[in-house]
Amino acid sequence: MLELQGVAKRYPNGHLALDSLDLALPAGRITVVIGPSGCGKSTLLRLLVGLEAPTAGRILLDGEALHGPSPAIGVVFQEPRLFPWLDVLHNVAFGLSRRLPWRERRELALRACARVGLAAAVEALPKQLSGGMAQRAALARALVARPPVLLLDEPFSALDAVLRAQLQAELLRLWGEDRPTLLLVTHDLDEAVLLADEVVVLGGRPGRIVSRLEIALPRPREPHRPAFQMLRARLLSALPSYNLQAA
Amino acid sequence: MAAALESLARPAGGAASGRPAARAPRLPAALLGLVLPVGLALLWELAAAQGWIARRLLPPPTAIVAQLHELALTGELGRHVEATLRRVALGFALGVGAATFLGAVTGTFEPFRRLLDPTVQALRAIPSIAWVPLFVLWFGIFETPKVLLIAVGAFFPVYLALEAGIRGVDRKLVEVGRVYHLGPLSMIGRILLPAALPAWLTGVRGGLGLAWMFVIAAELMGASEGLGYLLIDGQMSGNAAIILGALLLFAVLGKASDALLVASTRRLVAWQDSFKGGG
Repeated sequence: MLELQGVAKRYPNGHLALDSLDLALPAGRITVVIGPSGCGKSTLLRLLVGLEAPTAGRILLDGEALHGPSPAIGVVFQEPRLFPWLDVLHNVAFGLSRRLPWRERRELALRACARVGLAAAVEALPKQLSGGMAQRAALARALVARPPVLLLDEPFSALDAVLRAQLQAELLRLWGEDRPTLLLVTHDLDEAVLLADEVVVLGGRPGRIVSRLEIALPRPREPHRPAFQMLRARLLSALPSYNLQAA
Repeated sequence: MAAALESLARPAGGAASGRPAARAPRLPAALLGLVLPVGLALLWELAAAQGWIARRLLPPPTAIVAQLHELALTGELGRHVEATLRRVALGFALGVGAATFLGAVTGTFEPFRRLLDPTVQALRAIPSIAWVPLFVLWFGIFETPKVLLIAVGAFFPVYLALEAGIRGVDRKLVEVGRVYHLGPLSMIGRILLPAALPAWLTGVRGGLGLAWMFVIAAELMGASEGLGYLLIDGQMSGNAAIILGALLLFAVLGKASDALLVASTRRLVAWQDSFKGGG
């Protein structure tokens, strides 16, 4: 269980990005955070990853306060952020502690590459990868240590619709294998309804929780079904400012 | 010659894609770089043969080569070349080593940069030749001041390039390092230095050029061997062929060492996804 208790973040320039946020991510569930740009989604994720420290409140992982990045938390950013001088295998192995001998790291990295469908590309350099392959490699790097918590920051937003659908399905499959606690930040309504057990809607300036929506549809979910569309409509109406943004 | 090396290097950089296609223009491109020097040499030879120029002041290429050959036969040329190469290699290694260490420190740690960088920049403002009197006073007139002068010359381009290169590393990659709990040393070794490697190599190339420049300054200030000594010797004995021969050797050795540097480091930066020049 990953918990935020009264978490606020004010940047040095005075901007209050998040204001006293209380949120619990139940273990083994998929929580999707959605909201208009500037609502503090990315700040929330950076706090959970440990790249930023909250100015108030605490972040607890299984009851223990988090200070800085934790090996128990894997992360996929909006961009692949692969190291261009390392091939896919070494980029993925970067997600493992160096205390493991290289033979073991190599074995685990190869397995992670295979899990995301990159078995044939382990020797490729990032410059030779398509956008979808690069993001798969980033996913493999986050998964390779099998962290109990996985955070994703708009991971598929830069991909075309077909690839996005493909990777969303694969993410669900991978999640089904280990059932990590998963938090995904997005601005895509369909993605939220497709993936989430619960959707948390953030409102902007300063960021706070506007509403929460349980998605109890069985998986795999089919976006053309009326139940899916109804939930999507409910989510849309919970995002008043989003109508303007999307127009 | 420069064009020749670029084309030699390109297939390695181009990785898997289009190898045969990249190899095809290699020979013509190599020849293209030779057109100008060979053409000029022929013209020069012709001008000397026709008596258009004074042979005593501007001996033709054949006379220069003959002079070098003569020096080579006595073993004298080898001794001079070896002395100069040794000084350049030592000074260059020393300068690059010190610059890499200091540049990595100031580039990575902001407090160190604030502490050290203004001083380094101020020292850089001193024309390096101006150190000569002090070095001679401190270290005498033998090898030490020469090597140190070359090291000073090679130091600054490497330091500047690495410091700027590290500070220019993509913040997003550094964050990945933070997510995976890299300590400062791992951060430098696994992310900052590899990412700044292309910038560092550019600095190292500049440093090598300056090392060649400063070896002359060092050898002109008093040496009993070396190509700089050969220059002075030619001037004293009024032998232009020796001077031109030494200049020719500088051109060849400087170019060859640069080519060697580029070729031996090409693989290290093959991961770059860059333009590499068009046309």
